[in-house]
Amino acid sequence: MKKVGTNDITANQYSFIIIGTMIGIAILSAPKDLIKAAEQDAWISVIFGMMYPFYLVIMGILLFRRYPDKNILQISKICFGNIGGGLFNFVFMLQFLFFAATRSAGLDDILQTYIASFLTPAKLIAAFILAAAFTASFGLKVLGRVNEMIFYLMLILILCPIAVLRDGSILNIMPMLQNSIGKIIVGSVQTVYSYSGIEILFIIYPRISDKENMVKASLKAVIATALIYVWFVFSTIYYLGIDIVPKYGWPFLSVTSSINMPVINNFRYIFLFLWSIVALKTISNYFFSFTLIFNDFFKGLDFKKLCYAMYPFVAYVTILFSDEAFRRNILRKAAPNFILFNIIGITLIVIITYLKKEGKYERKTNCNSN
Amino acid sequence: MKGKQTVILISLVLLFISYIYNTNMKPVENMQVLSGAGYDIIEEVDGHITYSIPLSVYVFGEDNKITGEIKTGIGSTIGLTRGDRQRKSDNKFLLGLEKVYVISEDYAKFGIRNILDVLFTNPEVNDMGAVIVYNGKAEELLGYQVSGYATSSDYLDGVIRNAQGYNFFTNNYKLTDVFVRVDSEGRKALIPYVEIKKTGPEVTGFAIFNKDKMVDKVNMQEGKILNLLREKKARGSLNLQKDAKSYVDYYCEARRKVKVEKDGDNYKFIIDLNLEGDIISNEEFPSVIDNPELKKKLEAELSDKIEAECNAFIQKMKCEYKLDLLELGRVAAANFGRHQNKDWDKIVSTSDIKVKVKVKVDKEGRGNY
Repeated sequence: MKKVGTNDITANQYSFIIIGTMIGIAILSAPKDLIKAAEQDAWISVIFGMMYPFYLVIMGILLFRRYPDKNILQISKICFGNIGGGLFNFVFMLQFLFFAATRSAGLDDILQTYIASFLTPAKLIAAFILAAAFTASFGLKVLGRVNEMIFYLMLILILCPIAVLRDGSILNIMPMLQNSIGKIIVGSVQTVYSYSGIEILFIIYPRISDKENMVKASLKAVIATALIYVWFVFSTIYYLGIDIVPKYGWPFLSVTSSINMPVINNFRYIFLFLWSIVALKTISNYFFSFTLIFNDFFKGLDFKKLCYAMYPFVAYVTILFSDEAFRRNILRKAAPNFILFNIIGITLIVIITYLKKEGKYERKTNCNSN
Repeated sequence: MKGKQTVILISLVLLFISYIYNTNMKPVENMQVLSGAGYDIIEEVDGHITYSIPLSVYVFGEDNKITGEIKTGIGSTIGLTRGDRQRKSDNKFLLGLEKVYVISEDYAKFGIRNILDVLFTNPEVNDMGAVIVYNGKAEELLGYQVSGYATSSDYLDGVIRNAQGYNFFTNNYKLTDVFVRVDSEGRKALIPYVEIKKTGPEVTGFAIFNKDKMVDKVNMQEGKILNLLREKKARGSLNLQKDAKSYVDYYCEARRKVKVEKDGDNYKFIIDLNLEGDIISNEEFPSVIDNPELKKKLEAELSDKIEAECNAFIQKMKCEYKLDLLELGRVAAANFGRHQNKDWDKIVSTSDIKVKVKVKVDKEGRGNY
């Protein structure tokens, strides 16, 4: 068997990883929260919400221009010193743990509702995190390939609602822009945590092998994600109408259940089964990032062993989140803080790195290398 | 390497056993497959309400013979009926294959919100099952024996599914359609109304709903015009009859377009009906295809007649039902803004509604005999 190198990914795989981290389980319930504020203009709200990942991508590109071979963990130490950088990295790591846990608890909740009501959350979560740890332990290259493969599967699933568009009506989307832009933006700010996951790019960009394509790949990833999100929200509203969507926990699933196929009793089960693969991949990405940053604190540990060592801990944290009401509540409260932290922290880092331009640090590294 | 694989294999098997242990799984042969659900209400004199929920299940007998059976649960809430029913059932229920949901007329008049709620909450029910209103007890319809069918639910499912064609029916009488219509702004649920006649159950009209409450029913004659005016695209036959031996039958596809004009607080609705279809029998005129003038005359006569019928129905709707059965409020809301606390029923019943019918005769089939 040919061994896969663990270090480098192509720029394409890099964009698949970004898309794969942003699109997972949260997208299924996203229309519900968006509609509360922006009503039938919720899909426009998505475009505004996407400003957050877009902003981070621009920051990422700026950092990349400055330090193409260093990830944010090293750059933060350059900017804030060892202690400040360590603190930044710690909080940066916490959000990956938080999202790994909330996303897998979300997957557990949806599967318990629709498919596996006979299993306890602990059993399901133990299996999810094991799968995530297993995938992550193979390293970035395998993760990139997994993301690439699953992206195509996801593409097929996403295009399914085209079949039910004739049952919907354009009247459900009209009138466009009835709500003020302010309201639409409020809606997107409230649900901005659905788009988190883009942060992974700050960790993985130094490992791209064809660096000249990084900028293009980053933009491609965020635009593709935005399009997929818009399509999800748009098709859900188009099919169900804004009075009905908020009644569903996962509105998109009822769109898929209307797809009529011979032999298949209900397409929803097939969709959900395949979509849990998509969601598991997201959890693997979060798990990988979490472990990678953790590894950064304790250099010298074997990454593969660390993945398995982290497994009980992450699984335990996830089980804490398995109460759905608690999870949704804490997601609404804690997630915006992480987002604020990212925006402020990363902007600061970018500003500092550019102020230091031609400054002492460049020379210092040169000295060191000499 | 070999040892490692064995360890992984054994641990996977152990994991699987620990997962399925104590989960109360049963082979599908021992499950009771649901074919339909009914909803009855028993109102006592003192206002106390009891729900009676009959479920029709298949019984798989010897020699592949399948028959039906009714399991009824009674309780003061729909949830409680499950416990009551379980005392009388020998096997677990398998949900997800229900074909019809039969609501008794009494229940429909009482309000179906709690039915919708219980079906909406349960992720296992089949959203694609047809919903019908029955004029007696639902239990009676579900238990009715239709020859050639295991249960009457199978038959009713076929009737509703097959109804598209001559009466401007659509396939929008499924459970998910009722979900979507009941609470949406400017929309109304319309559910087929079934009665048992001499030859068996048949659709005799429509139950019209205001939100979740049935308010009235329309017969098939009116129902046809209602469908014609209400649906975006539907097929049906219309005719022009002078007497028993002189008539024209016209089979067409109707497309509806609604325009709304707003002048201050007054709305004006214009319904454009475009009918396009074939003459299926012509006992009045000679062949119209070769004769453009005659064709025009026929088209004009047809459209006049249909317009008159439509106007008569709209008049009745405005004065008698006082409801926006044509979902015009939906179009108005889509054009002039949603959620502005407008009572579309009131607006539509007091507004001017104009119907413009355009009839086009396309073909005459093989010829004219």
